[in-house]
Amino acid sequence: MEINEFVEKFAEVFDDADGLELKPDTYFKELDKFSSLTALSIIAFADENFDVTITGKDIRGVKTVKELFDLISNK
Amino acid sequence: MVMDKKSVYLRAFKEEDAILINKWRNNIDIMSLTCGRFRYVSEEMEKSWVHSKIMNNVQEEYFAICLSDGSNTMIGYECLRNIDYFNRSAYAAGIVIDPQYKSETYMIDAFVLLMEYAFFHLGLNRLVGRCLKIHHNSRIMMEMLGFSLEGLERESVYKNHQYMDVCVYSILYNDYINLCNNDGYTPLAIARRVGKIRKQLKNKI
Repeated sequence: MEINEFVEKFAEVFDDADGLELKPDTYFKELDKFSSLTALSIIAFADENFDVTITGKDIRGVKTVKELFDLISNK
Repeated sequence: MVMDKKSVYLRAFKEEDAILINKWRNNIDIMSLTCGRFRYVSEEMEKSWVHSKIMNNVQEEYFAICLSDGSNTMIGYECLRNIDYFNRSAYAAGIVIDPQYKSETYMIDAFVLLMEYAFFHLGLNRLVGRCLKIHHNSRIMMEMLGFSLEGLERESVYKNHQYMDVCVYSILYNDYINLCNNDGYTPLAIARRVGKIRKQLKNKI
């Protein structure tokens, strides 16, 4: 999966993606819509779409959507 | 008593916790998410309240939620109320987390610890939880932790100039054990339930 497709799909981890403009360099954890449930949704997202298991600690270690993409891609 | 697990641990209140608790209780944004009523509380009243919780832990138990990263920072609190030793039930209530920690999974870890304490240490058979119907994240959290929706209390809470519906959830000891036995409380298992529940909630009450 390419980064642009990843960014598009990544929006689904947010409860309400209306008005959300995600880019590879978006600091996703700083978005108002980000919550502890979003973090869990990211774990589920990586599991469902990439068959990759990431942890809360992994998410703590990345800041941008691109960094998350790299993390998942390199697992 | 101190219970330690994952990113946070629980401990009993200390007198000095009143300062942080008072800060959170007077934060209208935090309190707007709970079923409780917002009101301004003085430091003196808070100290007295915390002292009373320290000295009385039979029918209700309050816990400070602290980071287990070595800093021991208190980031919130939660409690078991209306503990009924005859019917072996209690109300899991009042979870408050400092907004700066809301994006982490601390609240979930704290709630898992609370359930573990209720079922394994107090020997309870049933836990009840309530949350505002409009607060989707709370509803998702209840269900992903194994609680089942029992019903709806219509317009039972007055908040923000309107009456709000409250969802009532419960989990029984057997529900909890079944999930424990199937690794249902691992981060991945919980995460897998989140997406599913999100979709289901859109079609529920």
